Amino acid sequence: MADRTVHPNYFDPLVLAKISTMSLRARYVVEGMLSGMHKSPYRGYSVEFAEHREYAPGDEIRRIDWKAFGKFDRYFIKEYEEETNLRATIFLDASASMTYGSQGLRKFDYACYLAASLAYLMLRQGDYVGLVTFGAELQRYIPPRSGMQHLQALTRQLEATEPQGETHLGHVLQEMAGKIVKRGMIVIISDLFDAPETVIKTLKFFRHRRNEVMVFHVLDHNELEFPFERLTVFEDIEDPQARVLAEPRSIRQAYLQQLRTFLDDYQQACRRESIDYNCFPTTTPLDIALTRYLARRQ
Amino acid sequence: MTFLQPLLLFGTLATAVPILIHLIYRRRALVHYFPAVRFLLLADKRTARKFRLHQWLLLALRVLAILLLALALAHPYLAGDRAQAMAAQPPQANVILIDNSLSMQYRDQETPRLQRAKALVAQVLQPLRAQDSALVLPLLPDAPKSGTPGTPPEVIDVLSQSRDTWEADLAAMVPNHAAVDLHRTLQHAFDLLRQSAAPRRRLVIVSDFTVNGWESFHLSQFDVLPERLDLHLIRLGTAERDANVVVESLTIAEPPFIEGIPLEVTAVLRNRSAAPRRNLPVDLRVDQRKVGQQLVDLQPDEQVAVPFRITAPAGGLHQGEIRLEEDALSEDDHFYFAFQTLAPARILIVDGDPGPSLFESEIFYLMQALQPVTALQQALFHPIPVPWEGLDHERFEDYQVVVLCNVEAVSPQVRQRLYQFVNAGGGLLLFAGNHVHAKPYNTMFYRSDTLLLPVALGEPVQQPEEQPQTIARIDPAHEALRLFASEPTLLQRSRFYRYLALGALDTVPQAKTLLTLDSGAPLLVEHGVGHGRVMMFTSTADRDWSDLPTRPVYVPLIHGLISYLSNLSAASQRPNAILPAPVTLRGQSEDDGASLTIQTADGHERLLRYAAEGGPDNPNVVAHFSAYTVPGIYQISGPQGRQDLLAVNATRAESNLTKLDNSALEARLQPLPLWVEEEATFGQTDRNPATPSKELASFFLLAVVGLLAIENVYANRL
Repeated sequence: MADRTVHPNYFDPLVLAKISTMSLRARYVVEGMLSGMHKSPYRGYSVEFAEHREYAPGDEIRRIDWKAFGKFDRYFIKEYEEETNLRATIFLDASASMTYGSQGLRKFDYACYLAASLAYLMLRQGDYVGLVTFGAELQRYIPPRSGMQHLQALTRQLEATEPQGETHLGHVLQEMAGKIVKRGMIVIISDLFDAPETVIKTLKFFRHRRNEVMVFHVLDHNELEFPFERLTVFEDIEDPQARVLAEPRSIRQAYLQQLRTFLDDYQQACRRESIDYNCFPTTTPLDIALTRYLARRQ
Repeated sequence: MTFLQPLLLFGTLATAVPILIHLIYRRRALVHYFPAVRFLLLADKRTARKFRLHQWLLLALRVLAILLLALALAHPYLAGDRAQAMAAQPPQANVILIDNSLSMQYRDQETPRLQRAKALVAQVLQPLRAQDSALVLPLLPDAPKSGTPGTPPEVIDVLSQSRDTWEADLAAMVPNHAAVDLHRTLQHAFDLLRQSAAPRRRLVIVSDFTVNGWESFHLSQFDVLPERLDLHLIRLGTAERDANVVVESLTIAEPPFIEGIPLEVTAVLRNRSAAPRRNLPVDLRVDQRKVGQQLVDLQPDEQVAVPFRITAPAGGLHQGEIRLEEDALSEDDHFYFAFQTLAPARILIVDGDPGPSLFESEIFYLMQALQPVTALQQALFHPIPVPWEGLDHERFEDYQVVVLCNVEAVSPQVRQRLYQFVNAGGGLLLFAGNHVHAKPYNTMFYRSDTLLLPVALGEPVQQPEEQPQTIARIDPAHEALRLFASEPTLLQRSRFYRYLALGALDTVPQAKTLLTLDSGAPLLVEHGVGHGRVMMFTSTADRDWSDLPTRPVYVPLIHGLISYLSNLSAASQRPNAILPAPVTLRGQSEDDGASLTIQTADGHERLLRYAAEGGPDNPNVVAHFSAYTVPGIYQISGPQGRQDLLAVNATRAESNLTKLDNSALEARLQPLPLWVEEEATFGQTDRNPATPSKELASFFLLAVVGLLAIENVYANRL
């Protein structure tokens, strides 16, 4: 679990909460980072040959590198820098469980900051960014576009989204699998309170289709530490029928054990599938989130 | 296990507190909307049962701690450990003194204190072992009693190891009306303990510790005390003064008690209390019938005299009682007395010189002296005049006294009957006169078979008119003359012009001269004949030879003589005794060696014997009695069927129920270490090292501390 000192200013989610619009918040985060608050080892992109990749049905014939065919007797496609600009789709969990927040910040708000910041960065770099908000069902899908104007649409959607319903990420991913045909990056920002098998299975599908997958597992401090003391009736946000009367001190260890198992399952499954899994408490500064992203891009 | 403070066991109800808190706590749980409840559900499956077990365990620890705390506050102890602890102690000699004085008959809690004292002593004896010795003694031992048939041999007190002996001595303990003699009793106890070889010695005194007997007592009066002596006092009742009203004494008006004549009985009461008594009923009972009652108010410590005026009952022996409304010490609420009443004495006045009227008769003044002037005057005597010629027809046994006034002669039959009359107890008074001649009188009355005169009469002695004889000496101790004992000069004013001379009296042992003239000649002599008395007055009953009949002293003199001769003094209060003082019962001269039987108020019989005491000049035939049982009226059956009554009353020495407090006891019993225990808390604090009780409170408190520590650690771990 991320447990580092939160930087002040725009990386502090609580500070960001005081900024009026989502786009502005994203801008502050990214520009702030880019202006030297981080020394991130990233480079710019050029439209130069980047790499070969093996031919897949559907690729344009004119892009076949015949020299490589003659050498290897196999079909390869040339990819240029400009073609490595992503088509990223951000899956933002807008279920009811994301409304939970201690420390004065909801998980959903943190997730929105993260999504907006990522979108800003990617759009600034010329990438294509789309957005999927979901709960029990797909709520809204904005296909990937490029250009900073698209950020407005994305941030407006973020601001307009009100989390509700259960978390059915796996189902939504399955539904979106048919719509996301071109390979790109799948960014999951969620608390992942869904059946891991279903989620991983779908993410595995995306990996199979050579998509990059990043998972930002957003959890609240209380969910991670379970710091409760008094005898409490815990009622599930998404399922009011699920309630437990518990003495927190007596059940804490068992709960943390279950949570750890849950997190380990996701972590191990993602590792197996080469999915970039990151667990983020809502107290983690956003620059770290973005740094991880950029490192990945490198 | 027993508890010193069993009421504190109600504290165990506090065990409901943690249970209630547990229930309330559960109801006041917070509600928190939480997204990760699924993990709690999974965790609860694993931990629910364990959690509930932990919660029950915590609740049990808290309830148990409170329960043990409540039990600890109730001061539990194990009495059973006494015997185990005692078994290791060396042998102990015990002398246990029980106060059996009258104050211990005080009834509080419905039972006399002596009875409760015996129960306490039974508890003192109970834990003693086979190697311990003990002796149970009364504080007031029975003194050897005269009049007890088959008096048992003297018992020597020894310490015994026999529990049967202890219990028998304890059961035989009875109240004693004697005065407390602490010094003698404690000296005896100390001697017994010093003689014991036991390494440990204990003296136990069970008493109410009234001041009686303790006033001048101090342990420093003893030269030697037993070594290693523990002194244990057990107090019955409290150190506060007990309230008590007592009939202290009783007086009856001056005897004789003649039937039909008013009789005054005065009871003296004292309120020995700090509180007043209002409307206290005081009853006078005669022959077991209530004849009078008064309601009396008594201030604290006040003494009042309560008079009763009754009519003397018919002639005979009577028993009386002053009775108060009974209080807690009832033995001094009664005062018994006995008295004898007589019918007015019948006096046969024989006129030796009758005249045409009573005024001219020889017996005029005598009759006037013996008859009441008015009906309101006491009629002590019933004088019946007869001319001397009519004596043959009189039955002398119908009279108490026969007075011969200047009688010239009597027939031999009359003389014989007179002698029998006097010998049987009658009284005979002879007056001289001109018809009384020495020779015929000496023939009649100075004879070996009818010695009614102690000496022979002589010739009349005539005094010159201007030199009359007066009474020079009187015998003031004589009952007939006791009225003149304080004023003997009253008789000296009478003048005697002629009297009869008498022979020498000093050779007659039983004759007494009661009045003597200036010349030394006897004026009045007396001597006993059988059971009766004979008096000879050597002058006349009228004014012929003296002016005595005209003097005011004539009436009291005649009354005294006649009362004495008619034995009216018997009409008086009968013997009475205050326990335990012996009483002396007087018999007649012929009773020497004779037996008499006394039946006590509770039906026991005592046999006594009269014995002569005193010198030959003043012999007394007496019997001493002290074998009392209970207060009341005792019946006396003497020689010749004579009956009498003896009133026996409880001692009043124990009526003062002021107590000695503990500091006063300690001051008197220094330097011995003293342990004073109260009856109310007896046995709850056992300082006798031989009988320690195992107190458990500290163990319970230790357990409470341990439980609370465990609960605290366990709760925090959870």
